Amino acid sequence: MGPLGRARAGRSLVRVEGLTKVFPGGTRALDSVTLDVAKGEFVSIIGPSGSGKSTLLRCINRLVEPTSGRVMIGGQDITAMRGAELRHARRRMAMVFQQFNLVRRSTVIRNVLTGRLGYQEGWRTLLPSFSKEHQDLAWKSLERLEIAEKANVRADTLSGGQQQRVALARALAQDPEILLADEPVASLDPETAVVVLDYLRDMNRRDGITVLCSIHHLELAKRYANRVIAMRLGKIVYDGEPGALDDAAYSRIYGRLGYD
Amino acid sequence: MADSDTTKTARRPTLDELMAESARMTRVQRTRNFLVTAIFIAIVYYTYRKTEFDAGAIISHAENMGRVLGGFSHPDTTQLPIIIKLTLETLYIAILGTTIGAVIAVPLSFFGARNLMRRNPVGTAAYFTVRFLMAVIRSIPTLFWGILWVIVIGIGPFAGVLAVTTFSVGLISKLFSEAIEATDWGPVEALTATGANPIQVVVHAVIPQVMPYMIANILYSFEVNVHSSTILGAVGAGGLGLILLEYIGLFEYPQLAMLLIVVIIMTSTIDYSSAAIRRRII
Repeated sequence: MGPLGRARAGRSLVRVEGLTKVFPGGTRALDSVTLDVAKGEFVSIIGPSGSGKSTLLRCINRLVEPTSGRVMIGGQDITAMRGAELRHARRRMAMVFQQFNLVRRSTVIRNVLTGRLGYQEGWRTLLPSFSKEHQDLAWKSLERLEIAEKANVRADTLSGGQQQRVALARALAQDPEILLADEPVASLDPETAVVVLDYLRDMNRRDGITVLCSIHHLELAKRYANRVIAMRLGKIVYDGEPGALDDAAYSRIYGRLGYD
Repeated sequence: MADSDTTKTARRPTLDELMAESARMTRVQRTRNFLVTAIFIAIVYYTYRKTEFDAGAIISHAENMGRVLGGFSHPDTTQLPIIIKLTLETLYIAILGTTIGAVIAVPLSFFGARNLMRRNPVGTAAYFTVRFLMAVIRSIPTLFWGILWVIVIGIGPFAGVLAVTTFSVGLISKLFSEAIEATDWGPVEALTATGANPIQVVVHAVIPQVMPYMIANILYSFEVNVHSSTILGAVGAGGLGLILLEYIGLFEYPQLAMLLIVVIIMTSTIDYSSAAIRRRII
């Protein structure tokens, strides 16, 4: 852990150790990243495009296979897991995406129900139906995101902000400990972005869900997080209080890249 | 996701260099276009020689054409009952063959979808096996499948149903596989992230996306099958084909005209309504 890191190993919920990802083309998206996130934190991850924010989030739930290094969730090594064990671990980490990634032709409530898929067992997994208990949970999350009146319309008829709220309802239905938010407001206009981030903060505070949120907008990153991590060229170059992000730190993060 | 930042230390090219490169690329492109055009013209000329193409023969044999088409001026309606009976049989063969073919094609098509299968060696092997078998089935026309099934189980419409089924499996599973390959990967990723297993991901993220395309593909295959079923009787596999050959063999052009009128009405009605339905669901 570099001089910027903070010692949180004792009570960390997410622990990333020496995580490196080299894509088949040779791009080193993550370069030995080490990071500890404690339960209940709201962490904003900032940095220029291609700095590795998205890859970091996707390595945590193994949508992307890291090349080397480890990810521990509550002391369990995610990187060593396979099959059902990995799927059970994924239930603890919900994810939302820049493009919402709803099943566009399905209704809103069916989309929220998919948040319960990890909890279905046995022959049930072969059927497109859900038990009463799963349905109740899905409706409750939909109400919580204040979009229950859209439950029976097709997801692709909603606006971007509404779709992201449905995606958050799907995430909440999953009953997660961690929320991985990959540029959740990058496709939204500024007013809608604030609405979506308010829900994210609400999930963080009321449900105690630990949030890791990559975000382009520096002001929003500082406003919502209690900790900001900045990445550049696959490395963490800032890790600290939002208030301590000064001009020097800023130029270290966003300083000219390319032909220099 | 494909992070592309690398520390480039290369010298920045000058504008002159960029312009020279652009001009060079244009030259390469022009040469390539010229060569492709020249090769194509050579191929067309070669086929023209090899197929004994003779536009003059169409003119000099125009009276033959007149005799056949002349039947249309006074189609023979006395044969209408048998024509309609066999037209319906043709339709039944196409409906049943397409349906059974689609049912068999659904599971196969998942194994033939690149995006689902080519993620590990076992899946890749299954993918290539399925794709190869489907290509072999499609390379043999429905009429030849008809001959084969008539040899196996004898003359009659059942052989025709099996011929249409066989060809449909090859056709529909290819179309389905391609529909599956065109699915939006975002929801697949999102559901994987919830802890869903691969079957759940297919049931909840892939099937809802591909369903309308599957129905459209089945309708399209049905159109193709109606067309190929009209000739199946020529090899004894049921439907119109037998009397079609008979009318031609006996120079019964008014009866042939009647048969063709019924076929044209049937196929164009089916093509039109199928296309209208396909437009609506996609």
